[in-house]
This record gives sequence, structure tokens and C-alpha cells, in this order.
Amino acid sequence: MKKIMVCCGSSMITSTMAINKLKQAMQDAGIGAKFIQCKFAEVQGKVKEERPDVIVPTGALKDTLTDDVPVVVGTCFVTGVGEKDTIEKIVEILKK
Amino acid sequence: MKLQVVIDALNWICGLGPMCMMPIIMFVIGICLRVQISKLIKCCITTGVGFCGVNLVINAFIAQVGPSVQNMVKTFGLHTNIMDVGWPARAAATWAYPMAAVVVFVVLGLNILMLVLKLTNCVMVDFWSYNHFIFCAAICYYASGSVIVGLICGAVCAVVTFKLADWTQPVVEEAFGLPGVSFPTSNSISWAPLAYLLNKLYDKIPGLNKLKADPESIQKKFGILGEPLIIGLILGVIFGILGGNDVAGVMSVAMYTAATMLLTPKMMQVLMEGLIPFADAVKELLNKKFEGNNFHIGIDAALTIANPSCIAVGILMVPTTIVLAMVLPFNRLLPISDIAYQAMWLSAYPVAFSKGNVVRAYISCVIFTTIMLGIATALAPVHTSLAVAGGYKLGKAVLVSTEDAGTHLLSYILSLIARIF
Repeated sequence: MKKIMVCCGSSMITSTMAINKLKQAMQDAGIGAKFIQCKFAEVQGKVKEERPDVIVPTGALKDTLTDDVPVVVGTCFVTGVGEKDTIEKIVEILKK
Repeated sequence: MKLQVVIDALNWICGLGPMCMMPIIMFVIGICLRVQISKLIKCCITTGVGFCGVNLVINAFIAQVGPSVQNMVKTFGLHTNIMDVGWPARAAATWAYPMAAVVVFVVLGLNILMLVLKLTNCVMVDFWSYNHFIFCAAICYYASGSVIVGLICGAVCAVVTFKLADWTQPVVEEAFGLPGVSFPTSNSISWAPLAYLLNKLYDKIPGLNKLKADPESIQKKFGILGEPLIIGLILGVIFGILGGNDVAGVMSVAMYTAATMLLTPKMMQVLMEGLIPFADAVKELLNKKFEGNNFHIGIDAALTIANPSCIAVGILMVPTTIVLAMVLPFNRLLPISDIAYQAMWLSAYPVAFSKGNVVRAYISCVIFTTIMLGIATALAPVHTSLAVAGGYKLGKAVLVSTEDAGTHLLSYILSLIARIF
């Protein structure tokens, strides 16, 4: 089971959109995934508790606060441009 | 005769309340946007359930915490007697505005028209954020009593917002590292011109033009205190004690305030899940029509909050906002639910124009928050009507508003103009 942390400004709107897309993508890739949904401001604290395999912020989150957990920016799940490449990147990290 | 039947039917649907009305309206829009039927039905019901959830939480909050707040205000002779019910409640009530669907189509059509005529490069794909334009139309409707004036104001708000998005796009792209993206959400972008001018002013003030602070160390120092759950609990304890409760009462008020902070976002997630196919349908429609080119994609300004300077300013503004609310004589809003986020939204443009300078952004945010509290106070009667129409059970003589409403600078100005009609 892989852990994916999806975050956005309020943990309500854009992260929900991204999780919806990722759920389908993970199913298609045959990866069992658990999602953690939180706010940007909470990432620093939650990373330590949850130890996710990858972090997908809908905005450009800096990776200085993520304890070496890889970050793949998921703005595309909101704009609809370039979703495929991003999903491939995430799958690649999770399959390692 | 026939017209009367249609009007009666519409009135009946509106009378059902948002929980039942929204699924019906969404079903109709969904058919127009050609969403798959089985998916559509599930989503309509999910949205209705989301509305139900938000209403449950907010009604419980007002019932449990409201009396203590009123008591506190009375005992200490405070001037802050307007309760802040939080922006999710504002947004949910906005979607429940009976003309919401019409505004969505008007703005969508306007965006396409402006793109075709090359009047803007902004493709607004964020269906959820259309609620800003609906909010504008709704408050202008309550201000003027005319549906048409409301619609026109909503349209004007959208046009100005798209133009501002064009202007700020290069700045925000550089500041927030999101290529090809702009933020046409009117509540944050209406502050952009003011943020720009203030930043120019700071350049000229000796001493201030050299000051800097490190955002990440601020974020680390405050840690858990910046989390809504903890802020809610602390505020709840204060209201409980000052409201003259016994120990059990204080604990209950504190838990209900913390619960509102944590549970409203969860309910919003459910509501959002229902709206996703619409977001996707609108996105697909616009992306397909306007591919390639020089366009930038418009989305929610919430994405800017990933920036450490925005987070730092947002945290610093929590205590600052409480002090401002108490000190400013014209303010009557008691900031509660929105306090954990609001300044992060407001800080987006000050941060962008000052290239992440926390000191400058903080000063700008203090100025913005002062104005914001004034607007939130002025909008309280309209906001209360909107909340009642959205199904919230408010006690007699209770006024509600939100900090979020106060950030709708442009909509407020339009509502002042609408009042003339």
C-alpha cells in the first residue's frame, strides 16, 4: 500500500479534484494507494507522522520542508493541461 | 397562463432549500454539459448531501457557540456582535442563490466571447471559483432588489477579474512558480492594484525598502499554533470563559468551535466531490476550444498559499486580525472561522509584487485587513439574508458575516453602485 499526500490551500477544493483524478490513475496503474488530504501549512507536521511515498501539492510547494519525500507538482489536475506526464512521474516514483 | 405554471414551478423548486434544489438544478446543467447520466445522478445527490453537511455543522455551531458570543458581547459592551460563520458557509450559500446557474452560463459565455475577440488570454476553467461571480450577483441583487442588476454586476465583476488576471499573470507566474497559470478569483485579485501601489510606495521609504524576514523560520516557530483545529479550540475557550459559562459549558463551546474548524472543510470536500464532473466538463469544453496559443489557465488563488511567505504572513495575521477587530471602532465583526486562512489569500498579491518579502507583505495585509473588516461589517445584513436563504437557522437579531465576504472588494464596490438602482 502506497501513501500519497495531496495538499492544497484549504484542503477542500483543488486537492479533492486532484485526488479524484489520482484515484482513477492508481487503479489503472494497478497500485494500491491510500490518500492523505491536507493544507499546505500542515505538510511540514504531517510528513513526519505519515511518511508518505510522494507528495502532490496543487501549487508549487517547496521541497525544503518535506524531509526528502519526493514532490510532484499537481497543478495540472486543476488546469487539465499535462495530466498524463504528471501521472507517469508519480507512478514511476511509486513503483521504485 | 403557461408562464404562470413555469414561475410557480421555479418558485416551488427554490422553496425546497439548497439541499433539494441544487441536485435538481445541477441535473439540468449536467444534461446541457453532456455529463454521463449515471455519474450525473450520483454527483447531484453527493452535492445535496454536502450542502446538508455544511448546514448541519454551521447550524450546530450557531446554536452552541452563538449564545456565549452574544453574552460576551453584552457583558463587556463589545462592538463586535456580528458572528463570522466561515467562508465555506458563504460559498455554499452562494451556490444556493437561485440565479447561480444563470450566472455560471453568463460568465462562461462572456469568457468565451472575450477569448474569441482577443480581449483576454485568461481561460477560466475552475468551475468552483465561479462562486465569486455568483456571490457578486447575489449581493448586488440584495442591494438593488433587481435580478437583472445583479446579473449585470456579476458580469462586470467577471470582466474586470479577467482583465486583472491578464495584467498580473507574468508577476504571479514568477512569484509562485506555476507556468501558464493565472488566478482570476475576484476576492484576492481585486486587491492586486492596491498591492502594486503599496509596493511602489515601500520602495521609496528609507529603511523599509531594505528590511527582510525569513518566512520558513516563522512557519517553523509557530508550528501547531497555526493549525485551524488549535486556533478553533483556543478561540472557543476564550468565548466560553468570557461568555460566563461554567467549566462544562466552556469545554462544550471550545469543542464546538474546534469542530466547526475541522468539520466544515470535510463537508466541503463532499460537496466538492459532487461538483467535480461539472468542473471537468467546463474544463474540457474550454480547453478543447482554446488549445495551444498564448492563453493562461485561470484557477483558484488558493494555490498561491503553497508559498512559504504567504503561509508566514497568514500565521502572523491571526493574532493581528483579532487585535484589529477589537481596536477598530468601525468594525463589528468578531473573526472566528475564517481567521485561520483569510490572510493567506490576501497576502497573495503583496507577496507576488514584493517578490516574497514578508515584512512588506505583512504591512500590506494589515492595511487590507482593516479595509476587509469594514466591508465585512457593511455586508452583514446582505450576508445574513443570503445565509437565511441558504438554509441556516439563525436566532432572532443575529447578524452573520465572514471575513471572506470582506475580501470581495470589487463585489462590494459594485453592490454600492447597485444600491442606486
